[in-house]
Amino acid sequence: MAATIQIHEMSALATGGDKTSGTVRFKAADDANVDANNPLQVPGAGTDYSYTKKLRPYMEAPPDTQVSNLRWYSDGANGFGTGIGVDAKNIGTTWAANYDSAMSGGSDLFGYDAGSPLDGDGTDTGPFVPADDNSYIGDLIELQMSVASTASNGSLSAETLTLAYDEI
Amino acid sequence: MTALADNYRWEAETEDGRIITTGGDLGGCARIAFVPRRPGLARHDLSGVDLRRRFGRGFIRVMGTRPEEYVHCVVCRGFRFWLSCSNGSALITPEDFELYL
Repeated sequence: MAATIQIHEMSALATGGDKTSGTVRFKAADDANVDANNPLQVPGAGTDYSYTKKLRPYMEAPPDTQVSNLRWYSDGANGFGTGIGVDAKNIGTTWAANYDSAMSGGSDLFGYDAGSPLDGDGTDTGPFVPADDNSYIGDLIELQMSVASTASNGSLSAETLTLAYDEI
Repeated sequence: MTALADNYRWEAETEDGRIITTGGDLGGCARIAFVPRRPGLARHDLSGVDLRRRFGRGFIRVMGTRPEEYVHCVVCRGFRFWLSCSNGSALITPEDFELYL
């Protein structure tokens, strides 16, 4: 049988909730709820930042042999509109609390596309084997949305983030 | 992802007639078959080529509307064969091509 891999939104290094095919909502609060509370606001000047989000793959059912080559990427086109960006980075396997100040060391999420993905297993390198069943695999990926004063008010359509993995 | 991946089962036959259904090394295999488990999907057989290895590649998403996908890949001398588990379509690419959907 093939492995079942999920994408979890994390609240600690090895604690999270399944968001596979679901929604991760950037907001002005440190929670994983997908609701209309705590929206980001367009500032009068400067830039407003969401609380960071952390994602990590979870092995829900094991592969026959192994899972490897974890890669994260977007469609390469920022559809959020003027003044809105998302930065991303791999933070390895060291947990730190989410924050709403500007992320340092991140890169534009939409610069990570299918041809140039974000490495997802640079620290926790795998390969991930059946003994890793029901545990987190690979690295934490940290994301943050920024809203500049040039952005327009209103709701945004979702963008897709993909996790690709190989298995044998 | 399990349900989509398991739309196909695969089996390879070695040159001495053994059937293998796990692993990634296809060295010494004479053919590999992908047999659909659901109606409406095409069966695919590869033989008469230099089979080297195989793997599966899963694509799962958060947010957006793009569907999940799972592909089987067979690496042969001179090309790769990719099979979509969602619709049974196949793609031939250069041997070093990496398919990301």
